Amino acid sequence: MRKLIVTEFITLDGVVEDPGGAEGFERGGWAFQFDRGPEGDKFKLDEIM
Amino acid sequence: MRKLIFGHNISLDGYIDHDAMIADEELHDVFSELLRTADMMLYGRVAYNLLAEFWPTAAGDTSLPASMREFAKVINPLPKIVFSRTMEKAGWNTTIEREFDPGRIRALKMQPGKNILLGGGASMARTFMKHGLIDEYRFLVHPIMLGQGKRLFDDGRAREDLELVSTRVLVSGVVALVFHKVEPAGSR
Repeated sequence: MRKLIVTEFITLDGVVEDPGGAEGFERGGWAFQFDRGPEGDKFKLDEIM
Repeated sequence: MRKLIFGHNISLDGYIDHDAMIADEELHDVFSELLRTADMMLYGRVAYNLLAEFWPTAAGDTSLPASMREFAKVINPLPKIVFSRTMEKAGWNTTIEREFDPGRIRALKMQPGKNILLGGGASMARTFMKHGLIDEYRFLVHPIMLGQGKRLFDDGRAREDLELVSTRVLVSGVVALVFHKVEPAGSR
């Protein structure tokens, strides 16, 4: 059977709102203030391959 | 300056109810190791009472695993402060503080000594976070979605940026995360 996988950007205290900063949340855009580097990019890419 | 460390078990979804956690030997060893770096422990009343009714007699209880007896040996002699307006007396090497005073905590951090360990519970930890008193967080993240219980993080706090210092995966699937506080730009 296939798996259904959930993948989320999430802060340590459990917030998932507006990681990219495009949703108008006053604290949005937090995910991309950290450079995930080539290893992080590969991780995200591998998820969809 | 010595560090004030908050170390706690937490479920993946942010709850800190102690009896829901995986309390195996390795976990007790991790906490014993942490306690050995400290010479002072701080607690809120509720968290304190939970510990104080169990650990003082645990060191000599041969029905317990070795790791728990060892933890008892480390925690029992440590000087402790409990914050409570109602407690009348406390044993277990404990001093009662009637009022939480951030200035007093800062002064404590300036004194020479080993680390100061904040043990819990949730409301005490939030008070310390709110006043920016915590230098290091040690979260033992358990592979559990607890669904309900006592939350560590409430809404409406100031943003806090952290630096990841280390990670360690325990056999149980618990992930030990160590973070240092990062001072916001311009605050130094």
